[in-house]
Amino acid sequence: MSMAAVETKKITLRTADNHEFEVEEAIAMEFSTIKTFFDENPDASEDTIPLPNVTSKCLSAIIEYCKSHLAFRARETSSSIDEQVRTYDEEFVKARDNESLKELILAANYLNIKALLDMLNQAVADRIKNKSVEYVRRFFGLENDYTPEEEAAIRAENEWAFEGVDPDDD
Amino acid sequence: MWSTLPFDVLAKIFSFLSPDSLACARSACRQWHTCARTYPSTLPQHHQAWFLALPTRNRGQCCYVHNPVVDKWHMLSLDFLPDPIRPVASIGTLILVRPTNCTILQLALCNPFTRQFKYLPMLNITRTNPAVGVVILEPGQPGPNPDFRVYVAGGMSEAPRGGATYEATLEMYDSVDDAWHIMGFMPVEFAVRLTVWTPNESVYSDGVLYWMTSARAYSVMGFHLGSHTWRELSVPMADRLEFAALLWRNGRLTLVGGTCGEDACIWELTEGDGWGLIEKVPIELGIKFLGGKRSWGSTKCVGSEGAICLYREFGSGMVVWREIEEKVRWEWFWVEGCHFIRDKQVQNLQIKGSV
Repeated sequence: MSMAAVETKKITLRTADNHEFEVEEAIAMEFSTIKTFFDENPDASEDTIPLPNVTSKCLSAIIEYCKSHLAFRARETSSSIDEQVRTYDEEFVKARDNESLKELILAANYLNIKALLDMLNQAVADRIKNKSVEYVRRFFGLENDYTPEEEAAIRAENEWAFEGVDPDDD
Repeated sequence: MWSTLPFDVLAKIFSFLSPDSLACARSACRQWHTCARTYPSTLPQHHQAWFLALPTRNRGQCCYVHNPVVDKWHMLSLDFLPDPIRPVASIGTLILVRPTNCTILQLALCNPFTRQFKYLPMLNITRTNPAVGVVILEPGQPGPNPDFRVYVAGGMSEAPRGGATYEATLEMYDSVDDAWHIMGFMPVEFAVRLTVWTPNESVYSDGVLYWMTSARAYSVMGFHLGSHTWRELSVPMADRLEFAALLWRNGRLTLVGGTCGEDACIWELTEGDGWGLIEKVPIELGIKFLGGKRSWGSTKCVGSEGAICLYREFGSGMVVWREIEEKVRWEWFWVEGCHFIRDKQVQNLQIKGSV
């Protein structure tokens, strides 16, 4: 396969905390929000794109994710590639705490990166699955703001689901 | 703070939860409860279908659902229903139902998880015992429940001079404008067959609504929605099958049936209206299911994307053929019947549970 020397176009992005990131066009096009912007403003590709809703920490993680997934997609599909993608995704979320997951979700939502958003949403859903209500409250820092009567009514309505949850691990 | 996440973002996360986990999330705090209620999210591709069992004698006013992920049965109260119901079809997270306390057909939508119930408007032409078919437009589209259409064909209505007559009109309900439209007429012979011989639900595949007769000798009628034409299909071993059910699977019309003393089979409709055998129920599962008997009578079958269930009474077990890897692999499972209630006749269907 011959490799033609191609000038890869770079796009500059500026985060909320004023860091500038230079990314290859291919990666920037993974962000549907930015792709749409360029589709509508083809002359704007030289400008720096401000991303007031995204921190540099988030953006660098997102850029890493998109880079890796672009590389995976460039290779031939096979079950071993699928396995590698799964492992990569698992590692990507595993170490992150809820707070950074939340920031990533908001950023992926703002930038409209469907695959990443789906993956992150699934990861959070997995942290809710089969857990008790008390666990979910503690884990996500939610306050139980129901009155005792409301709590009882909601409990009765949803009682059927509460049998068979995982025992809380802490 | 998770409690201040914008609703549309949170709702997307909820769409990945199965009904039981979502019930838990709903109970956590007001914000999450409101979000779940405002965005009854339907992304059926994220979940395996849940099997819903409705006792045919609805005195108990409850239903039972099976969670395929953890192989567990749950009981849901149906005390929010104004009348006893029979299921007709599943539409995303909703069930299309028929109140059973009147002979004239009326339809309603119900979600047993969120305890929602809503009547559809009355038909233009009242009739008893027609065939009902559901077409879901663009299944898998994001957002709230998909748009759908309900077709009602045949049945008996009041004749102009008293008595009853076979009703040859076809009506269609469109969820987009929440109204019934008369779509034309059908040959009387089909109206008769649809009224007398098909209490079963229909299957929609590739522009055609199919209904099957309810007993030997089985035959299938297809109504082409675009051209409003009817045609008839033969059924393999039509006069020997002890049970038969029509389903939709992997984009094809699928038939499940069994003959006495032999394995139950699954066929797929192929080009030229022929049927190709694609699978048989594994012998051990078949034996377990029939409890040592050889007859498949009283077996019923339902299916939705990703799973086909063979069942009998509530206490006895089910045989399930489930999609494991998308479009690639299907496997057979045994599901133990629900043991705290035995010997209740049930009507069932599968619903993609997400609320």
